[in-house]
Amino acid sequence: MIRLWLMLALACATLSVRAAEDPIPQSVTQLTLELDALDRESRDGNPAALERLQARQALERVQAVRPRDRQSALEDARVLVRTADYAVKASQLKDQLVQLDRERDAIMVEAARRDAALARKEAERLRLQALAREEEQLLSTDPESGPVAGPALAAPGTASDEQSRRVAEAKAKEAELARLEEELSAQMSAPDDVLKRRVSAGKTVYTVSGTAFEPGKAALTPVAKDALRTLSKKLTASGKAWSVEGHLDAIGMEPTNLQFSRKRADAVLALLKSAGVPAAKLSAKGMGSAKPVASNQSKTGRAQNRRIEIIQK
Amino acid sequence: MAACMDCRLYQRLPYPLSVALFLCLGAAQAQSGASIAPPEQIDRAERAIEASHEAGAPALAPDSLALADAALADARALLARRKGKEAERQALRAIRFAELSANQARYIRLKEAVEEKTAQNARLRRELLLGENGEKP
Repeated sequence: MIRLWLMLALACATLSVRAAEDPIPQSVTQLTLELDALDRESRDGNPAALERLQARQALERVQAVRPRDRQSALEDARVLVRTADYAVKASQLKDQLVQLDRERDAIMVEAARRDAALARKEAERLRLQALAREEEQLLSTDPESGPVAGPALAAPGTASDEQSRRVAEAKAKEAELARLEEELSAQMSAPDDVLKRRVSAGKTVYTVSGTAFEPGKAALTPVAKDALRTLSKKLTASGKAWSVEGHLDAIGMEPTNLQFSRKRADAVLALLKSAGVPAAKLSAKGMGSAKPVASNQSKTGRAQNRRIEIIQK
Repeated sequence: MAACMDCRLYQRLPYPLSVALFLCLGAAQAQSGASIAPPEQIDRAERAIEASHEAGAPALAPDSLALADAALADARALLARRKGKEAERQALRAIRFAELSANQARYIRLKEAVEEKTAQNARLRRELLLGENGEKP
């Protein structure tokens, strides 16, 4: 009887030692800990939820399957935990990329703001120089015998033209930078719908907002391209003719605005054509700042005025 | 005469024995893999491997992708030998490894993109805001 008890005790001890050495429960514990850590990292926004759930279920399966299938179940769980790990990290990196894009925009806004301030200063300096030159000219004119001989005046006259040209250039640069700054700010603060539809006098009008373009450029953003590709199907299906009109705010000189609004309208027209709208049904023109829809005195108003309208003919 | 003998043999075979024989044949059939792996599992594995290729796994996660390819090849071989259940298991393994390689490749790509953008922003800040020597221009 004692021998039997001894044998039983020995068997129990052997089993418990084997259980302690069994690598499977240890691996399961380790993987569970890793998964718990991933869950803690994923509290914000619940990224890679499916991958984490699959890994959790695989770990539970390791405990539930028959001993002979345990090794393969463990391998399965290990792969799924690694997959979840990569998925969570990838999601975090995606967030980081968004942050970096915002940071880049902020740098660009800051740089545009600073350049605009410099351009303003330069324009002011040139304006003051021009005034001083005019005064000098007036003083050098003899009130009795009229202006000094022609050749003597010719040089200041040329210098004055040059000065005016430089002032105009500085002003144009200032306007361009101011618009760039505003468009960058608008894109950062208001990720609104790039495309809106309305009916005016019985005709459909699609308005593409200014944020559809890269700041200060006539290139469409990827989001706007997608929206316009979707719209192109509707335009084609309608069978009607459409006019693409580019509009801008009142910053800067009108000739430049006309040219720039035309460029943007052309960019939209080119995309619609490439998306399948028949060229014969499309036309484009630049309206500059001639047709505002809001006040040009406020930032919001100017943002509304920077737009493209696709009008049914 | 022979037909008559067959009849007698049939009549002599006890009913429980014939049922047992039928069950044994059924079990042997099942064991040999007559239940073929659903081709959809193999299709799924192929699609998963295709997706991992698109994610850039051949360059960024070749090890896991190789395991997925090997598992899929095993699954196909097992299916050809009519070992359905084992083929299915290998197809599932192929899917798991393919998903792992795709996620690994995506992670590496994103990591590179983050590093590139971080460097870009630092350069922009230096060039636009601080000037080349780290001073405000």
